[in-house]
Amino acid sequence: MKHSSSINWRQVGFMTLADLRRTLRGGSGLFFLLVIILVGWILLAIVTNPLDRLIVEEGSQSLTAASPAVITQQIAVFFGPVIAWWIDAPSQFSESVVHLISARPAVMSLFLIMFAGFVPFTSCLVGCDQMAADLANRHARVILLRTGRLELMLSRFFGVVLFSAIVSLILVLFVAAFIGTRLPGFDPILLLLWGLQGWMALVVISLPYLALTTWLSLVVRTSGMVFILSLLFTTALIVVTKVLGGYFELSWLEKLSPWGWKYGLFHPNAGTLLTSLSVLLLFALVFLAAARYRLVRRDC
Amino acid sequence: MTVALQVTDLSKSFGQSVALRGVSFSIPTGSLYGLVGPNGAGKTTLLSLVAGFLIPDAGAISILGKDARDELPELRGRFSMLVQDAMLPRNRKIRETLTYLARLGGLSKQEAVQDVARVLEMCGLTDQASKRFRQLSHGMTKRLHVAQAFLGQPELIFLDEPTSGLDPENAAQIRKIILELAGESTVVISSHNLVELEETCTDLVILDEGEVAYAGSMHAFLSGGSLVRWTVDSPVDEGVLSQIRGLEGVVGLELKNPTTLHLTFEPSQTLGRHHIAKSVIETLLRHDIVPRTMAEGARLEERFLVEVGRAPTS
Repeated sequence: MKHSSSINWRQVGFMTLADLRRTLRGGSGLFFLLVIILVGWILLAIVTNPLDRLIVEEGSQSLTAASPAVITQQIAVFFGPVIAWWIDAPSQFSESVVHLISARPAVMSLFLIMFAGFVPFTSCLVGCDQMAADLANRHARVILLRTGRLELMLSRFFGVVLFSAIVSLILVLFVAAFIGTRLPGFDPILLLLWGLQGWMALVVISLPYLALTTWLSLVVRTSGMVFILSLLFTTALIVVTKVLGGYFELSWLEKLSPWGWKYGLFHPNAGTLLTSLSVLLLFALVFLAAARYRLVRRDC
Repeated sequence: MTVALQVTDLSKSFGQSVALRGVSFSIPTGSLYGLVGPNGAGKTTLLSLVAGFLIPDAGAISILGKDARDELPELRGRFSMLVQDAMLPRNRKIRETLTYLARLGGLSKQEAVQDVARVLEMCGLTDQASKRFRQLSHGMTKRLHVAQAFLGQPELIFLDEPTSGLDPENAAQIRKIILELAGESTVVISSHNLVELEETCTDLVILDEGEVAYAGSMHAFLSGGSLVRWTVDSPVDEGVLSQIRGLEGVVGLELKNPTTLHLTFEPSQTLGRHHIAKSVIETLLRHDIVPRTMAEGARLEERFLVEVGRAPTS
């Protein structure tokens, strides 16, 4: 079917905000927020509890009393190899690892890169209920009497992007406040700025996965199936590269999915950062183009 | 005469199953149009194609003078539909959802609030406005679906099975609302309730096995046929029936009950309807059976069954 190429952005904006309002007020939004806060809390505990013990063992009274320099040094010693493994850096002395630990508030860096590893999965969860159910139960038809297919698709996509962004912003601000309170030695402004930069990276990382769920929600009939398929897409490549990576050189395989590019957003080199940003946005655009292709050809 | 809907050579298949085959008809502006057909005839498919939910394999649709494929965005808010089997979100509030739909249709916030109040009042649902969809009975839900179709006062309204599953009181209320709309909007009603369509509609399209079996005015359809209903004062036995069957111009005869006959005439240039009727009356009188009432034409249901080849002819 031919469709007018012009998109009614007023309608897209109206539907996006209405969907967002409903999600934030509804039970599913609250549930997701609690899940994310819980994940954040656990990650914070994983970061701060071993630090607390290390710092006490090193002679300081507590983590709260330790200077940022001491904390950073302990993070470098204890977490350096873990960070290097986590972000696929060659070693703990790599430029990217040193940048994360020394040039930026190290505790916030740790939290951001760990949470970035969960964003693809949380994005699959938050994005799975975009259109599949509404198309199956024909609620979409009541809406499509008043707006276009593309407008509906884009509003659902932007709705989950905004929701996901708001939730991760709440989490980052919560973490910044937690670190600022518990470790008063860190400059709060620097902590907040790095937190916000990291939050933007988290939003960009979520985009291809949310776009993937947009496409899948036009292909399969239930939200559950969208979640399962998007999760399979996300995990399959990771499992293959992590399991077989010990035997073969498979780092190139990760680059075939958004997963392989996400930590480039935390890299100190502007070229690497921009390349990762461009590739992640390109993945999102490809999935959205696939969704559009499917949408204008399918029966609703 | 302006045309509200023009369908030309429309075809649609689902895999190997052909739902519509070269369907063409037009609906004049301001008419109350009935869309009739047996199960699987393609009525809902036709409406879904018109609304743009389904993509046709071939053919063209023009709504209110605009191409429904290329100019659909310009038609938003100008036509509406009661979508069969569509779900409304169970946990959402009624007034809030209708206001959202009205605003999506192009009304300002204030206009939307006023229009929602209007359609809720029209469908007798004002006191339910604060409830959630899950709290409504089946009848109320149906009326609410009808109400959403009237939002924004569209020029063309499609109602797919507007009274199915409703009790007589609710069904009568919906019919009343539809009749009140006559003249303001063009209304197309798809229904299996032929009595309802006969009472409500000025024109009709009959679909059968994906093709148009009839398209035109209800009056012409009912009176243009050759069906005659006859009641007599005493039971008619088989001997009399066989004599009537043997009369020239009588092509069908059904004994509805011992004193009610349904005859199908086939007039010709040399033998008019009155001549055939006269022969029938004479035959009855010869057997001391007195005709009491005679009605030319037929109720829609009977005529429909003849048209789609399902009428029992004995």
